[in-house]
Amino acid sequence: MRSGELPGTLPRGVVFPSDHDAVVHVVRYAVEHGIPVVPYGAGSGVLGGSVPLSNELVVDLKRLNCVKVVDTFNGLVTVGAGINGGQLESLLNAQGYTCGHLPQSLNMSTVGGWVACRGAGQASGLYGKIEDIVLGLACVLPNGETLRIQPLSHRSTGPSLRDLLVGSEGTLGIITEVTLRIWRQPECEIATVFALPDQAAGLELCRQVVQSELRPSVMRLYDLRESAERTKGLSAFDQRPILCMLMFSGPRRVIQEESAMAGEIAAAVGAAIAPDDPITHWRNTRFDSYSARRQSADEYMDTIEVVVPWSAVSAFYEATEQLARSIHPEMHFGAHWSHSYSESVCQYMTFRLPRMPQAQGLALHAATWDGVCRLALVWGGSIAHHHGAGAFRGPWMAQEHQCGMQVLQSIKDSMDPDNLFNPGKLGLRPRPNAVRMGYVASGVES
Amino acid sequence: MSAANVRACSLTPSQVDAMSSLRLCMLCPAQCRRFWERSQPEQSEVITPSSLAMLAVFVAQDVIVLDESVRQALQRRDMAKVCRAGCPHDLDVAGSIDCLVGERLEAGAR
Repeated sequence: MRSGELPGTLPRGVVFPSDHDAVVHVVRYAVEHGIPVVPYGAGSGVLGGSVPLSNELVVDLKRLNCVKVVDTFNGLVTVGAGINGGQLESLLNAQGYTCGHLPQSLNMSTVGGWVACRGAGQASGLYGKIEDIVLGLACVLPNGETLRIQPLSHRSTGPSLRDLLVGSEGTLGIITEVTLRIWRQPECEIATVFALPDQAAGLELCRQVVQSELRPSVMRLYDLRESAERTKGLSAFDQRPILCMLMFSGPRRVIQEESAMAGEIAAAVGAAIAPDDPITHWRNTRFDSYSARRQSADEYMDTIEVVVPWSAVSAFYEATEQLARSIHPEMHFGAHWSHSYSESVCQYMTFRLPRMPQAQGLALHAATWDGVCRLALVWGGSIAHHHGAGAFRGPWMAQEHQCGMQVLQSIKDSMDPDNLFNPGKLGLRPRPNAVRMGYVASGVES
Repeated sequence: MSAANVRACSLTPSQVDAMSSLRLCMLCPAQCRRFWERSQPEQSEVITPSSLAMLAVFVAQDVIVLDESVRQALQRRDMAKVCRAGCPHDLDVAGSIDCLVGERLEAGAR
């Protein structure tokens, strides 16, 4: 785009439905006339999920931004899918609540986008990813019917239809309404900054914390490069250069105990408590996006988030760092780990190439994606933790899902026989006239 | 040197600054958009500061033709003005548009 070229194709039009029924009308019209559609929220996704590939009709959902019910008794909020995330959170905070989903993109994304892309927030350690927070939804299916899923967290009535829609990125339906869990805002927070002797100690700290059934709202571990960027001038990191920040949020008595237990684990792996500066800075900038300055300087910057088992994370990190060096000697590579589970952890990587001819930059960029996705699968991981698949991760979806990809394609074909709903995304079959858009390196089969 | 940079050579220093600001805005995912109240009747993407910035940059680079529809779009700056308070880069998008392509907009309007 910065060279004046269009990603994908222009849409054949953009419609702005004001409510669910209007979306139904749009879908029925589109199906009747064989017009493919792409749902659109705020466009903050980084995988091209909302980019038209074959002159689709874009269905901009931002007018569906009402707050239907704040049900504090059951701990639920029901909203239109197009509401801005930051506006929803502010509204809930004013009533003493939070929905607990606080992605960096909070102020530039919609609730429907969170659900459609299976996103994660910075407090996922306490509240979970969006699939743990969304309980109910309404969506318009490709046949024009409305599917409503009642907001109940658990049931035993077959496979979860909710999970079929959460992460479907508009390929199986257009989500128009979402019901999320809400929680009282935490009574207090206890944040601690640790300096660790090395990365292995940091990973061990994180693994032991989650496997000890502690639930920090925030636990962020940085590799050496990202630690150095955040700890300049702090002598506490001279001998222990690795930064880890832990925050517990909730009832004071509970989190005092949790924080103390985490402190014991930290001490056992050689950590020392450090000044609060890094977490103060993080709090102040946690919803900012810093990529625009790099992009406007004509650098080639991207972030890739994958999830790998604890047993593989160190080897995977070394492999990805080596990959970056092998692709270009001046490539910036940094990583952090900010979503931890009992069995696995998300490694969030930043790759950045200096200014260079566009063809070369894009080729190296594609090679980086190919290498990282392949390595994630080799080490028993998943190619995506919370950014979704969109258009760009399509080439590796079949490698991840194996024969499961055919299951997904069969579901898609059954629900959307004319392939009209966001065609060509998630690695699903594109329309015949679709442009090819993706980080396709040589040797990658789409 | 890219085609865009070649065209930039004909810009005045203040227009170069404006171009730089607008390129930054067009590549920003519109972090300021939450300042646009949800009660506003128009919630379309074309009125976001990022979209206006992109249009202005593309006009300046002759990537797109400054026809009547583009000229009208570039005049719709209510959201850009409201969202200026929430710009993390402290940009004045409306002012930068005037600086970069204001004369062409006026010429087109005559």
